[in-house]
Amino acid sequence: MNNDKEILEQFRDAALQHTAFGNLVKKYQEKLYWHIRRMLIEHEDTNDVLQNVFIKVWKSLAQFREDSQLYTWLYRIATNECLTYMEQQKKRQSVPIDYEENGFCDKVKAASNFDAQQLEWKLQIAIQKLPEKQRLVFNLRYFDEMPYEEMSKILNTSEGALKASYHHAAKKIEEFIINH
Amino acid sequence: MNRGYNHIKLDEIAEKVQNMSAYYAIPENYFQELPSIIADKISIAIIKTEEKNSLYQVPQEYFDNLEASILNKINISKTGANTTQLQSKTELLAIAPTLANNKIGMPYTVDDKYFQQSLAVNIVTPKQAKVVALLKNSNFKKLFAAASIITILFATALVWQNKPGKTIANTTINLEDSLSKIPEVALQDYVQNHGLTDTDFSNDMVETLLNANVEEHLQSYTDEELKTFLKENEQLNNFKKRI
Repeated sequence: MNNDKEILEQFRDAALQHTAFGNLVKKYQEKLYWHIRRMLIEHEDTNDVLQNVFIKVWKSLAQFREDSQLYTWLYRIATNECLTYMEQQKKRQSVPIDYEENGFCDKVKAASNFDAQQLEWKLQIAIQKLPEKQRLVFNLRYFDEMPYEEMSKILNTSEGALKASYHHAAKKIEEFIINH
Repeated sequence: MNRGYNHIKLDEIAEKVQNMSAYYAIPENYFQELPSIIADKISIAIIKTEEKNSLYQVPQEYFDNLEASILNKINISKTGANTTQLQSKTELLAIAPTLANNKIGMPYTVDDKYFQQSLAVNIVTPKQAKVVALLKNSNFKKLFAAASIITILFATALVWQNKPGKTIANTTINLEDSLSKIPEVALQDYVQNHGLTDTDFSNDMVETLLNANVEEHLQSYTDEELKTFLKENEQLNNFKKRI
């Protein structure tokens, strides 16, 4: 698998641009897919957002200045696209404030293989009950085991605040899992 | 505390052992003092242990989780996981041990083929140019189909007029170009005059019209039908030249 530096160098060469982009997509598609899927739950929504993410990457990769790691930059685009999509959905459906919690919980429960007794599903329900920011932080730390330093660049939040967010989120989830 | 019991036992032993002094030299009163010396040392050791335990506090359930915690660390280092993973594990163990001790995965599924098809191809391959919106009308599809019918019929009629001898074999009408020359009013009139409804227009129809071939259409109309069409649509004759 090509490393990021090679991908970026290839991309700057017009003749290799498509190959480089193909390699980039292959390398990061799964990671980004699951990052988005954990937030949006449904595959169709995830697919739409993921494609938008890569379209944005394609359009702006030439301007990427390597101030940050490519992977951080990609996660940042994916996270922003995800949040924008969620915002649009909320506006479109003009539903009560508690929609966020109930709406996403309903989506989880609507999955074809949902089993309320299974630990994996309990965890998902517990995650959906968290506020948006805590949900993001928890997912990145618990599933991707992302260092706070990286997360701080993606979410534009201090490491201390992220640690506190994760702490609260993990506590709430633990409590939910034990009591349900 | 068994200090009294120890004294009795050691006194008995001392009496018996005293007779052995003929063989080995021992300090004077050694056996008389020995029980109390040993008893004191035992007491000091007990006191020291008690002091140790009371000075330092162990977190609740520390020993319950210790084994799991150590095993986790061993497993992580065995699989070559990096420091971040270790830190993340240790951190979670302190906050939420149940969550940390059960590595819970994702219950969602995705089609295996999803990641095999290259998303990149869809993104970097330029999409086919869209047909430019010719009409700003909401009934665009209806008018577009009407315009296509008119264009094809006129082209067909023109070919028919020029018969015999002249045939336009395999001629594809440049619909997009021709359509742009027909005014919207004329199209609306055509739709109204012919009582066309939404059901007369479908995506398939538009697609077929776009790929229309004059020669094929010529064969689908009789001479009489084409003559009638030209007569009925005299108002469109002004556009005949342009088409």
